[in-house]
Amino acid sequence: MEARKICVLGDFATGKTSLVARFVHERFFAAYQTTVGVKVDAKDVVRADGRPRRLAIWDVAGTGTPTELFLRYLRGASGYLLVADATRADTLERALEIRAAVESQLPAIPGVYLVNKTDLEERQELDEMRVARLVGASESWLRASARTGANVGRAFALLLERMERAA
Amino acid sequence: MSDSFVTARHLRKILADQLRPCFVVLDQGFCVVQISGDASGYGYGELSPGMDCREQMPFLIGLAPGEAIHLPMVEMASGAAADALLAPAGSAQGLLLTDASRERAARRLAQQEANETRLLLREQQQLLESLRVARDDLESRNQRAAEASLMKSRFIAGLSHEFRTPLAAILSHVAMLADVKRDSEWSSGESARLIESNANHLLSLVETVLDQASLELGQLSLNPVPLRLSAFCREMEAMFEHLAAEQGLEFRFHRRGDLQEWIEIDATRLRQVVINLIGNAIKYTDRGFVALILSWERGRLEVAVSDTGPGVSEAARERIFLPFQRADHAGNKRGAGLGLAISAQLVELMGGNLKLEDRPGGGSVFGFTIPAPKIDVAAPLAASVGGPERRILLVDDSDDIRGLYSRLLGKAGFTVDTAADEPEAWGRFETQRPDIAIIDVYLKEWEGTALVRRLRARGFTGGIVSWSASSLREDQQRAFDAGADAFVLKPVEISVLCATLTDIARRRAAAA
Repeated sequence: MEARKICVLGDFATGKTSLVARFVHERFFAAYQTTVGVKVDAKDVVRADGRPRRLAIWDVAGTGTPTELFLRYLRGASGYLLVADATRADTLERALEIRAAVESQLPAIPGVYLVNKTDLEERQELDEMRVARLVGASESWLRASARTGANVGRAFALLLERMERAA
Repeated sequence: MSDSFVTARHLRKILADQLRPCFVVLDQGFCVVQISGDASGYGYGELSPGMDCREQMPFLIGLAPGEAIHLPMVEMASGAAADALLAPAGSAQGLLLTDASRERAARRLAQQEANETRLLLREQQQLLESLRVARDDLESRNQRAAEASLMKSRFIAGLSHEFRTPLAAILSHVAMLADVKRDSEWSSGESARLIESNANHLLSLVETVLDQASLELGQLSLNPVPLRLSAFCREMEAMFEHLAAEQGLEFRFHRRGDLQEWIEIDATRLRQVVINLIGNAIKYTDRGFVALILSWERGRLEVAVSDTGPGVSEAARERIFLPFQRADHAGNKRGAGLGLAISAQLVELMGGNLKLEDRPGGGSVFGFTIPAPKIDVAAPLAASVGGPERRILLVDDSDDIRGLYSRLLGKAGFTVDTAADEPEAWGRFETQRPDIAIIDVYLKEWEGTALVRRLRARGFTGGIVSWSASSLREDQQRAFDAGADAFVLKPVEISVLCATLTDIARRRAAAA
């Protein structure tokens, strides 16, 4: 089976580990536990054309400023998700900075923005208009919730589709 | 065995216990050639030569054969953490895993604490920011309240002047009337005219202040009655043509659409708004013209008043529809500073929106559009109220009101009886058997609405008009609840009262 590496990136406490847990294990843990280094999971998926793919999903410890080690974790990746927290608008700015750093190292691989925690309706700082304005018209982005599972599978599917097109 | 050998073996054991190394030799296709060390400690106990290592170790996916890379702190699917070092070794490649669980636990503790502190600090900052916004809002509200209080104080001061001036004029003319026989040069008719003019002004001031109070309390309600637009046009034209000419202005009147229709609208409030807009336009225009444009189409009445006056400055526009504001150039012109505020609120109550625009060429245009449904009124005036429905009993505790309206209604063709209180009213009902009763809401110690209720309870089936000088919605509702057919505000123009009586007769005829 062909395999692809994807990385899940973003500022701390944006819910990257929860998104991966929802996608891979269909589970959600409300308690926040910080990731140190990187956590690697695998999930077998089926592409739109019916062919199977193994995804190695790298849940990289949250950071707002990409370091040399952070970029080393990306080596061999075919795509990445950039996660922001809908209740903290500044995390989308961190995601944009990470995007710029990754593009300088790996310009050819696709990324998809994922604005997580949309279930926390009363604390929303990133509505659709604001995300669209900050991210730009040419980028792919989705609002999602690891808690409810909304748009999580769709985000990975969208990234996979873009990775296959870029390959 | 030498001591150094023993020491080296001991140290190797300590290192092996601490690092729990696992060494895997891989071929160029990442298949296992050889395994040594603690593979099961990382969850790879089932790994055996010939297997594709990437099946068990997905962190190798994406890496090129022969690539050298050090990946610290990699958490495996088993939950174990390792530092992974991949390096080429001749035609093969070697993967060394060393335990990082202890270091990860220590770093996680520190990082968790740091991240949670940052989240708490952020929440604290947001809380402080929301407190600051709330404080600013409170200060701003306080400032607005203080400004409003100042405005009201100025308004009351101005109003007392407004009240005193006509009162002084009335008193002086009353004195002159008393002395008229001795002063042959002064005509009593002239005094009466001036007294009437000043009394009307006082009444208008009182009504204005009461309207504003009712609007502020949300208690002013509309009282739709039949209105013939053509008659309304004639009334406005007659009212302002002369007034404008006295100021050296031309009064222009443009009609559009079918203005022959009868519409249902609160004629008193419509009249009040239009009179206020035209009155303002005339008051503030020195030369040129004031124009009233009226059009009715498909159930909507459009009204616009334009002038060639000085216009309204950009700064004043924001406040012009607020109460207690007067135009920049108001100077010593008469007025309470409530007219436009009341007009705007009345237009809103009638379902429209009073707007101000610049007139091309200079001046202002105030306009609005409101719903004004067409109604079918065959014969609108008092004379048409059916034969038997001409006897009216007017119950009001004011001698002046009873005297005035019995004369006006008499002129309009009705037979009018009057009563000052409830006992007297019952006597009149017994003897005169009126067709319609006009009953004041407040009758000194008697409740007019209670009289209405008792009349209905005793089987009175004629029309009942409740009236009051109060425009409070509660009064109106109480009257209708008691059984009144219509409610009008005192003082009411005789044409409006006649139209109301006609409407009641029409409805009663239709119901019969």
